[in-house]
Amino acid sequence: MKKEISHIKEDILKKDSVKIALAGNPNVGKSTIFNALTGLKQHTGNWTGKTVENAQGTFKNNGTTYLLTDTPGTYSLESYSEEESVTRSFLLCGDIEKTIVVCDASKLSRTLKLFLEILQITPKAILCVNLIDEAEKDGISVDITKLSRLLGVKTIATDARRKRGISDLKNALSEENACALEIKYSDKTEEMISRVCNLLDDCGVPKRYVATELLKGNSYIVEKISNLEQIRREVSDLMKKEGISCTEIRDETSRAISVLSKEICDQVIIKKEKKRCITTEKIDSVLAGRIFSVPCMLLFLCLIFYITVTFANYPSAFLSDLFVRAENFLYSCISKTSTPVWINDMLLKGAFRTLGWVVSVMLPPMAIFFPLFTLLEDWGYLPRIAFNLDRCFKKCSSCGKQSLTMCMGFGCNASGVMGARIINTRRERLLAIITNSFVPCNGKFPTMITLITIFFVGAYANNILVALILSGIIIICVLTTLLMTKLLSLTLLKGEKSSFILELPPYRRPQIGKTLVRSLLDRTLLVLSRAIIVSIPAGIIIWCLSNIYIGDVSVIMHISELLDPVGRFFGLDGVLLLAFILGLPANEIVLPIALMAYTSSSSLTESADMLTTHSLLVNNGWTYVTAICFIIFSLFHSPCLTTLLTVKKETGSIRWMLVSALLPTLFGLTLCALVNFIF
Amino acid sequence: MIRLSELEKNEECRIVRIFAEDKVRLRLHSLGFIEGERIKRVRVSVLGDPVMYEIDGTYVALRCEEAFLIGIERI
Repeated sequence: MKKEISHIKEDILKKDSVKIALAGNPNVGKSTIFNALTGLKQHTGNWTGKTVENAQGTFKNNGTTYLLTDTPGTYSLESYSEEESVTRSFLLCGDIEKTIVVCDASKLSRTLKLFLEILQITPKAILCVNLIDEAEKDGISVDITKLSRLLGVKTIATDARRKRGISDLKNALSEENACALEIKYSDKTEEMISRVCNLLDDCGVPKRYVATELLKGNSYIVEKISNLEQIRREVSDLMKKEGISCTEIRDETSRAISVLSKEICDQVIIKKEKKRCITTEKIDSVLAGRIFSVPCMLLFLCLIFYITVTFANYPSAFLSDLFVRAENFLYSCISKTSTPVWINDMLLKGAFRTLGWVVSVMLPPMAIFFPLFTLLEDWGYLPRIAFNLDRCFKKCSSCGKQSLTMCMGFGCNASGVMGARIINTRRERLLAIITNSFVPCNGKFPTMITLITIFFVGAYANNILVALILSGIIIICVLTTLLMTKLLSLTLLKGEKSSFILELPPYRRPQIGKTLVRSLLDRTLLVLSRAIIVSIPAGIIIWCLSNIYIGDVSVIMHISELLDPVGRFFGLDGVLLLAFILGLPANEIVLPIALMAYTSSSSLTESADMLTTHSLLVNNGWTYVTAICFIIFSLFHSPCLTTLLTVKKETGSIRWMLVSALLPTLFGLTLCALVNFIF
Repeated sequence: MIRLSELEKNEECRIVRIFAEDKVRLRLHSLGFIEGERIKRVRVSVLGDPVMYEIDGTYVALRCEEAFLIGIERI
């Protein structure tokens, strides 16, 4: 009986778990805190009405279940970027019981400012001073007890990487605390604030905050106000009378926050000795320096591809073997039932085989590429790439952060498109999204490597030469991306380039084990699941086309014959053109479809080895020109269906989706026609 | 008063005035670019722009356009 009651209690608790939010500047180890608190009990969800995905996780402490929501890293709650307004509106409208604000102990005065801002919205906040170990290394120690007393809130020191202080942080959540720290402005401003306060009705947000925002001229707060028209008039009258502009108020508030933050820090920070962070400076003098930065970038690029290409082979072979066995096993099972043979064939030789193909070709490179990429990200190298390359993008009226979305695009264009959220203005984000498919994704590499090997290197060549040629191709793709960005910003996406203000965080030793797990879970599986969703219907369609006959010839042959003159014009042939069309759901299956059509078989077949593939292609009229045209077109054609759907979701318009499909296709076709014409 | 974009390498100075407006002004404020703050030019990018500055214990990269909007005085 007692046990039952406790079970019921647990269920009730689960239902109304305590909602808490996690906020903090970028690069203060916010996600490490999030992971340390929630472990692997995480999922991404959407905030109502917002498209920005955010991580949520649950954890239990002393019998209470907490639902923790991560917010994007922001410097302040002012409306500079989408992330900032998202964080702000989440804190304003969400029914959050507590907010944990993460600060960096070694940069306390700058990271404390966000906390002070958040205190104006909600007094129920907990300060988490993270990276205490890093600060100790720099000779900085923080008097946490004093800081807690000065702020009047619970303050916890943590080193999330070693899980120091995490249990204290959990315990602090159940403690009652409310802070009454107010930021004092000049007498004149204070008087204006109190006057506006008197006009306001109760709206669930501290009146003082609403009044300050109104005086600053920020309009996002207006939905909270009932008698808006009247108040607006009063506010503007007041400001006219006092002769103060919104900008002046803004300057005053941000200066007041900085001053207060500095004052507090002066009292709590004890510097043992003036040690400077030498490591970051030294690494930067190489990786962001004038001589070695470009060679190092190229080296990293080559290295990542070399590792991916070399080590993906073995798991790929293993997986495809596994799928062949599973298919045989399932076939023997299903053939015992009374379903018609054609249904069995369609499901297994069509849908299942295509699925197996996509998974075994796509999963291993992704499972290697993304963790490597995340390691560089965790280390702190990625902002340096943006720093090194920003000038190129500035010339194209874009932003250096686009180079990061391009890097992600090498893994998967859909991820790259999603990654464009880090770019602040809509125009530059669109530029990054539309041009993303000009960098080849992992799905195109197997095809490319096969063709490079059999036509340009020779079947028994070493991987290094292939990796070098591949890197050359990639550099061409990067240059094309820049060209297209310029072209778009001159035509469809005209506009002024925005600012480039980027913080370069210190290098930190990446947490290798966690990175592997998280990037596998977050990026790889996400992309893979989407690929699976599109590859099954594609498999069925391909199977139907190659198994429905009109006369003695399958539909697929009929169509490819029709397309043949068009294909020849572009240096390809009908089969290849059709393969590209059918391969739209997933780039991995373009070459397999072509091989299937050449051998007139009824389902996707694995080629025995490179030599057989070579002779098969040559027998079907392939020359070096065909190979070049095929490589060009497989680099520059419409991105896969997953990417297109992501573009639609991210831009919210079918028009931009069509542009991002047509632009690379037209470019690729033109290039192919030129190559075919010249040679 | 000179502009931040005129600063030489490893030179340190103090911010006197921010000329930027609206969003850029907000972002500069929140990254610690406030009147009276000390700032040092650390390193220029391989292509000559942007430039990395050290302010308030961190490195921040600014394009020359943004650096021009910050008025400074040498110490």
